[in-house]
Amino acid sequence: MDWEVYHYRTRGISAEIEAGKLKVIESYAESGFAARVIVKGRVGFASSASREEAIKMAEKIAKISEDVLDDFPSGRFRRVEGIYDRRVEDIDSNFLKEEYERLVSSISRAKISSAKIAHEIEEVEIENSYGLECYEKSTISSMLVETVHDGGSGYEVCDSRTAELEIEETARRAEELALESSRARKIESSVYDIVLEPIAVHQLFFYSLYPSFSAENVEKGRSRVRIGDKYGEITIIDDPTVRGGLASCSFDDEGVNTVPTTLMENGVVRGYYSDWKHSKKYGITANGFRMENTGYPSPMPSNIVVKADDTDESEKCIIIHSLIGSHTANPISGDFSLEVMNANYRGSAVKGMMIYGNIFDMLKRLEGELGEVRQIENTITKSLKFGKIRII
Amino acid sequence: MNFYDIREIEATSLTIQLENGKIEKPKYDHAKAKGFRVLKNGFWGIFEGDVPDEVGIKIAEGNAVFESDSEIAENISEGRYVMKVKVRPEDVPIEEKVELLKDLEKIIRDVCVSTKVVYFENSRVFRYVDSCGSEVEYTVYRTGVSITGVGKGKTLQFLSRRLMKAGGFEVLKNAVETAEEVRKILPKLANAGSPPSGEMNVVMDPSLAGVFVHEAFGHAVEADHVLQGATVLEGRLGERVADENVSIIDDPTLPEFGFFPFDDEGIKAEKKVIVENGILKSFLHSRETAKKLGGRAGNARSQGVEIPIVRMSNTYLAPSDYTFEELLEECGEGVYLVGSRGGETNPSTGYFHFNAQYGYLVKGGELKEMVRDVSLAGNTLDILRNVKIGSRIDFDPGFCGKAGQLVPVSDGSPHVLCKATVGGA
Repeated sequence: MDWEVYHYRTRGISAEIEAGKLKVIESYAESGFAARVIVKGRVGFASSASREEAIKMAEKIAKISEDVLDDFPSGRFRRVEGIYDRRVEDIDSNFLKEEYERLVSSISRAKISSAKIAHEIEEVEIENSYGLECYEKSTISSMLVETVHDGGSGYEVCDSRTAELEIEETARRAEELALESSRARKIESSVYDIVLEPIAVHQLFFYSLYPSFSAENVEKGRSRVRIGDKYGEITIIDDPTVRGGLASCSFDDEGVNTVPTTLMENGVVRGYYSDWKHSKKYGITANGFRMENTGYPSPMPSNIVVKADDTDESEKCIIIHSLIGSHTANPISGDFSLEVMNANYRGSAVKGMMIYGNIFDMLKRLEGELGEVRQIENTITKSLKFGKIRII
Repeated sequence: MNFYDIREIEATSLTIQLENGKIEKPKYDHAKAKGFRVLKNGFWGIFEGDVPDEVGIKIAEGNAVFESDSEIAENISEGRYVMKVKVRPEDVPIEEKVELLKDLEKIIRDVCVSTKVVYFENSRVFRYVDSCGSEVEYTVYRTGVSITGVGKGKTLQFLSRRLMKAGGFEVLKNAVETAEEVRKILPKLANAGSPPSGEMNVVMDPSLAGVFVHEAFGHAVEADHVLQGATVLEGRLGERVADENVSIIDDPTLPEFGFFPFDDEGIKAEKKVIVENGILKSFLHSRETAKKLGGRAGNARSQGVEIPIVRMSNTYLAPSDYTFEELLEECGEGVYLVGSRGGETNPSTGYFHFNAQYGYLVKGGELKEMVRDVSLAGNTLDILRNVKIGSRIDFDPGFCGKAGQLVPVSDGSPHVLCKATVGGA
């Protein structure tokens, strides 16, 4: 029997703010094991707080499995920089209180309905019967703030691999969104040029575009993209090696050394992201990740770096900050129809709008990128401008 | 220390996935977790970790270092509950579960380019004690299958159906019918056209209308949103918020997917009328919101031992008296939308969005061509002012993801006629 054991230990501390008041300090410490075994070519999987129990249960369930895997990865890996900050280990309730005070003192006109500031340390250790032994420790800090003002609302986020968060700037952006939103008006249904800001780009791409580049989805007939297809002029790179990237790691959750993978180059599909199982057919990209620590590794994107030609023409566009319902997009066809949350048209806030279309058609209408680069969850992008999008 | 509580959960689960006819990623999970909360000087200190009780309370108390204005309803709750099921999932041989998946997959295989049929079973043992003297323990089982087919016609489309309930293996008795439904609809969906767009008459099927009730209205009556000043229903108790034929209820005691005998603050579950004949009667409450706003606790839930927050359970729109045919006739020209791929709402503004699995054009009060990838958006209170409600209720199971915590829920409704903004690709 061949085996793989994924051992995780996470601990962290967070503050919850409700109606502008610091209400909760929470800490946690969690650890566990996820075991995968290959018995006569069949793969079994189980998770438990006990290493022995996880292996035993994985072996037991392998008897009904038809999931085939020849081997587990082996080899060495190169360290990715900027994903661990020792200072996070020392964060305590007083540090969080100072962060809270910085947050509330940055907002004076809108109200904070809720906010959460969190800092986490994660340790991952993977061993397998092919001699693989790898260990990595990383940190992540995040803040989400939701604001309200006179019937309007807004939210903003910031994340970092270090102990430092851009609290004041994030708070001020959230406040401005709520203030603008309270003055929002409806606009005529028509065709408009639009600019998706980084949060909206991530929300749209994560659910309607990225799944099409999964080697597993391609293999199982759940993707419409094929190598060589061309959709506009966008470049999309899966890059787990970005220094300080929120999804950066030295090895994936199966222990494979991480490397950048070009998914689209100037609009042409160049590759897919793959876990170990599908790498035999689609190439090794080190994208075997777990949705949760106790989950089975599957192809998932790491940092997705989006690039396009520069543009500075946004004056006549609807500027869209964020979307509602992005998880309802069709991950196979790429069709979507989404409600706009915060948006602005020619200097005035607008509301009650739905944008709809197909992500692959939309990529052909990409006119360029503008503004600052931000990382939102796993998407690293500037704002993107698209021409002639139907708004109702 | 004003108050403390300790929650302990032991969960076991089995997931078997049949993908394109092969058993892939079979998985056992066994998890134990403990959550400790301390309320001191109006401030919550919380710790999650599998440690002895005295250690956990001490760490939680160490986090309760500031002052605030939190207070709670000091209810004392006692009870034990073990769900009685006809067939305990663990008593069914795993080979029989595999056989069931293979039988279901065979039904849909020849209309699909890709199939995925998933079986799951889960047991949750929950123990709760607090400083008021409460002692609660329960065991609940959940079992289900989800059946997804990808069909290729003019476009690549997927259709998913779920049969999930609180209960044992017996809840799967209608699984074959669920697979037959996918077989019947998917080929038509793959060749369906784009929907119309704009504001129009919409008949929602029970599944989609249930999501509407959950997303568009249910989240707005969660009292934590009231305390945050983040709901359009703040300060509107006793006021008319909907058409007089609208009554909305949340009932965790129904044997649906959102069932629980006690909430995650140890409070015995009970049915709550939220809206009665269009009048807002009650919010959903945790111990804290109940104390602050005046209401009954019992709606606090959490994923694992994370912080309990105000959540729905089995939430439904009560039936009225229209038949489906009468609703289509009243609709005249518009769309009939079926099934749900999920939704989202902004309770602060009342704007919501959700996606149907498919739909049909309605012309002259009759169902016509099928349409795909169709969404519905609007403002909750605008829509509820003028709705016509059918007579037969159905429940649809799902997971609600408020604040990043997934909990099982079900949404129920009859067919509903309303006016809303429809969009599609």
